[in-house]
Amino acid sequence: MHFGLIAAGCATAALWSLIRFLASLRRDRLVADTPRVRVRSAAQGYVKLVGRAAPAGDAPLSAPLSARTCVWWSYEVSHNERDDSRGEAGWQSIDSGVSIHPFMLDDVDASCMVGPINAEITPTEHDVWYGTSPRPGSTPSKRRIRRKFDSYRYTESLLRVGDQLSVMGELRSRSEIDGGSLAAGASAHSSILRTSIISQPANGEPFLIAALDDVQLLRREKVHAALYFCLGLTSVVLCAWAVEQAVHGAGSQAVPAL
Amino acid sequence: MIAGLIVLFLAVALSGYLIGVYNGLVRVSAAVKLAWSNLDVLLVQRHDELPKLVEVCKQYMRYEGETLERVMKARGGVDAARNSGNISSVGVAERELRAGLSGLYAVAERYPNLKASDAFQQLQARVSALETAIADRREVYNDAANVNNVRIRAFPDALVASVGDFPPALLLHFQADDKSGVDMHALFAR
Repeated sequence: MHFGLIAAGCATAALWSLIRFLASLRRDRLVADTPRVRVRSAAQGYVKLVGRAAPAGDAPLSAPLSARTCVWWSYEVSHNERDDSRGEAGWQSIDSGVSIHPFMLDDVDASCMVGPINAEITPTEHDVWYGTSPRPGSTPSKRRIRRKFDSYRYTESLLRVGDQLSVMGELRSRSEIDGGSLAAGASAHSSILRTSIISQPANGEPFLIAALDDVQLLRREKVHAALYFCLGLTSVVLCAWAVEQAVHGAGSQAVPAL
Repeated sequence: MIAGLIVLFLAVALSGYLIGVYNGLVRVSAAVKLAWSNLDVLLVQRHDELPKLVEVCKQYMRYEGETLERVMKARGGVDAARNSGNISSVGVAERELRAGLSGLYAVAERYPNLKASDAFQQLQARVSALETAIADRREVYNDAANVNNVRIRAFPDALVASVGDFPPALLLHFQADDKSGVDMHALFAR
């Protein structure tokens, strides 16, 4: 066995786990320490908003594979070629996509647009089902178990209309007078319209959209941190074992030569 | 060998964790200052709007000088407290101003021409919107202050906080008077 290679692999895994562990701890604190604000009075900058998802236009989006109504979707179609001589070749992605359409987040008394590009989204629905054609002929509720002749796998994630969401990102607002710009001045009966959009932060902070409340978000980050720590520790032990094996192996090979 | 690598891993993880704790304390401390700045912006905006409101009221209220004077005096009090950076004083001055404005709006009810005035309606709506936003941002400020105060007292952050300059933040109270019991006898005696 190539214990040197195993040791190198484990060391890389340990380093990666350590970095992810520290990043998860940082995110845990960020989620816990960022106060929740209301859309109507939110200042510009990195904020945490909580509200219900709503379509940005008159009609909600339609999911590409299942045609279900939603405000955000992502999908992937994978194909598995069966080869009689070599068995299954494994799933190859043949089509995928992620919605970039903005949607609205409605809190108690105001709304905010959410631009989901580059967001880390925890969907409310995640379905995997199978079929025989590149486009599914059935809805996700059926065909969840793969049949022998199913060669296509469909994966679809959705945020549905009305889902309760926590969004952490950078809020930008623009004010304008109903029917004109703010600079043009306001008449007695004109009202000031405030348009807010939350999107990916420019300073590298995480952009999270999750159908989870604060407690669930925190628990998730803590669980991730704990898992990364355990993975790192295991990798270190394996790395040390592989190094010892490599050293002993080299030593035992060297003895006959003496 | 194994023990050495585990100790090294744990030492790096602990160092990274402590650095994270320190940076987290810096962030919550900065968040308190940012929340205060965001609140201060609205206090300044309202400070600028109130003279306009009082001027419009003066045109219709010939005999309410005391009420208007009270609002302007409270406005000056908030500005002075804000400039001094004393959170407790801001809370007290803000209570005065809110009481003064409530009195002004109550008196305005007796002046139909004033109430019908476009300028008054617009300014009242603007000041009310600012008051609502100020109340919301006070909540955010208090949340940030509370997070800061819990962090610097809770273990293990307290250990790191003790070696740095992380003072506790004062909470901002506007509505202390509302907490007092309502005198039902006085209410029904009217």
